[in-house]
Amino acid sequence: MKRLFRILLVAMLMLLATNRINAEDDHIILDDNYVQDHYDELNDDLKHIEEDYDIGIYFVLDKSINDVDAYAKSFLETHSHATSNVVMVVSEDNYAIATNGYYANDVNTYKKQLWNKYNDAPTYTDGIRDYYQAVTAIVNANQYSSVVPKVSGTPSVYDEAGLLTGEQAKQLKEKIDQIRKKYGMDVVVVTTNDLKGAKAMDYADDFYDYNGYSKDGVLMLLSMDDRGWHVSTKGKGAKYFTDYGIDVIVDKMMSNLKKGNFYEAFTIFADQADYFIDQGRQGNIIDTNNPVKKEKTFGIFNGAISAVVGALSSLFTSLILNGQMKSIKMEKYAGSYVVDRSFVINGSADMLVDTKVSRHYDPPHHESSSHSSSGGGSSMHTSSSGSSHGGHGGHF
Amino acid sequence: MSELKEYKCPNCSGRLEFDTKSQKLKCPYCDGTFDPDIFDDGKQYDLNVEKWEDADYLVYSCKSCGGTIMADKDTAASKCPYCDSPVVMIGNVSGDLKPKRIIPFKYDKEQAKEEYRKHLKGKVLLPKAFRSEAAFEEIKGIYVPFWLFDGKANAKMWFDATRSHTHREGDYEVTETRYYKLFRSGSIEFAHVPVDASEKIDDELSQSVEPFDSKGLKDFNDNYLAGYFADRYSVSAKDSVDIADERIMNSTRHMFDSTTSHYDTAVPSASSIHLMHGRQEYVMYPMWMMNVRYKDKRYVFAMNGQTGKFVGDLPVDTMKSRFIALGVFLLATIVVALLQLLAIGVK
Repeated sequence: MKRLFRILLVAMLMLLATNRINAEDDHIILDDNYVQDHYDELNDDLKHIEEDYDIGIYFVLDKSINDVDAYAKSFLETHSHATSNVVMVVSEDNYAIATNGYYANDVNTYKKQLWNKYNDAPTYTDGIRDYYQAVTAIVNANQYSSVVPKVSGTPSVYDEAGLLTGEQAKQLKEKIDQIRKKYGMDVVVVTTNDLKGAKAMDYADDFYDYNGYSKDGVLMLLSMDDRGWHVSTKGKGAKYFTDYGIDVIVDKMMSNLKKGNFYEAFTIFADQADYFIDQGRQGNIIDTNNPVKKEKTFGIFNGAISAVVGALSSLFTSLILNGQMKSIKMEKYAGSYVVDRSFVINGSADMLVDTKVSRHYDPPHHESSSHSSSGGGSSMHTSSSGSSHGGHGGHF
Repeated sequence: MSELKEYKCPNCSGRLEFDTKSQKLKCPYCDGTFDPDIFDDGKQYDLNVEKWEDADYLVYSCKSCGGTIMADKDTAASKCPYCDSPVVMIGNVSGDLKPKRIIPFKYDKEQAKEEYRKHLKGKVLLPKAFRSEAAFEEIKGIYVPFWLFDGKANAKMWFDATRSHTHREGDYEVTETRYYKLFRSGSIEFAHVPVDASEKIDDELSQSVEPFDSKGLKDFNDNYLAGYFADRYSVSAKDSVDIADERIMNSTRHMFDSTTSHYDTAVPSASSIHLMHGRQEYVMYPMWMMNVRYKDKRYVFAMNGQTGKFVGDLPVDTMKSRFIALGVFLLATIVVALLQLLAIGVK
């Protein structure tokens, strides 16, 4: 019994040990050659840094890794808990640094220096410490002061401008939540009264990037100070919402936007987003070569055409019926009295005296052609966080 | 001038008239028929003519019944209003006044009435009451005097013409227009162009029943006039030839114009047409004339006695006309609107 108990204890300890090495909140991950415990202090430090600076700094040392770049990238994908994250992966003689978030651009600039900091240190502990202290220094030097509000919980609706009533916001949020859940993509509606000097495009991109939304999504921003709208897309959002598609959606919202019916406008946005994502997932991305069928309604133009045709018909009928009633008129010609075969042309000449050529520039219209093989696509740009966004804006 | 001719059947003394169906002089009593080119038994009378105060009117006494036949200086053939006896004023169709040829009537009075009824058919805007209320005031078969003119037009015409062609060169639409000067010279012959020689008959009316087929012309014989009305010419050939010339000129221009049809546009720029006058002939052509009275207005109808072509302006029921115009407008508008709605609805 005592023997069994000892075996169990060792097994548990070993389990704990293995767990210890692979603890999820470990910022420093080393392979088996190193004793994890020695780095507890550093791990704690990094935990505090994460809390204070909202940056997750990681270090991985594992000689068995072959493709350090790929490893670093995939590591970040599973370890992006803070808004900004950095990982340095070190293998035999290879290293790679992957980063995202606020400080991505700055960290990328200093990659070599960060490596040197680590590599030049006498001990592993010192090296790792120098590395992350250098990162912290970068963070301090480049405190990103984004004007966008920091919001928790990745809400579907952020109505800073108060354009919706409580009930409307609730309904809209429920609708969008469902869409997000259905497709695993983010859809966001944001309003503000003050862009605080930022461009709408930056505001929309940053709101999306810095408030923790997923890599695939679409955001609609309304800025009331300039009566502007801006759509920002990311990942699959950029794919499914092309430049053309965004215009189609905003077009449908426009009359409501102008009238100030924001709830109706956003509802249209949500419904359209649902449709567009659904179509996109089926491979039917809405673009110039696969346009949304125009909803035609009977308008003034149609009425005018009907009336004109009616008037012409009436006129035509009148002319014919009245024409029936008259049969007496002077005869201008003597065609009935031409002697058979007496019409003789004995001389004729056709002379070309001039030739004029006129050229008229008439290029084929791509926009109106629905037979082009490829669509307009989505124009992309890089936001301050380093990620690629699509979308554009306008005014109402 | 004061000689009247009557046509009596040699067998039974019945009144002979020219019969359209047999194209012969026919006796209504014994059914005897006589070749109008040969028949020579018409009796001529020397009759006293009474002139009325108005010198335009002449008065004759009917030999058969003594009734008064009203005529004027131009009257060549008439009928006694009382006993219907046909008479011919020989003086107005002899010597210089004798027509060279005549087209005999092919359609009789019954057929004329029938054509009138046909003329009213299918006339949507004709007032409903017209058919029932319109009363014949007069139906007369009249031989109308005509001058027939032959002529040859020698013409030279110049045209400014264009032809255009459009094709694409890359992003451009290129239009090439070629400008031409055309010249045509030639001649056309015209024969038997008719001009109404009676002042009493409106030229408009006689032109409207054209064309007459000159192949139907027969050598003139007063027998053809029996049973019909006729007048000698009151407009001279000299005063008629200009009308024929104008029609010939118009036709010449028109026919030369048609030789440029293979161009996109062709406008005459200059022309020189010289008419050579040929023969002129004095003839009589058959026409049925009808007067109809409706709501205090007289409506004139005419029919070509040889071809049956019937003309005459009819009154328009304005209420009906407006009603139909409005109706068609509404109907067409609604139909087009519905079609558009259908197109919008079907997706």
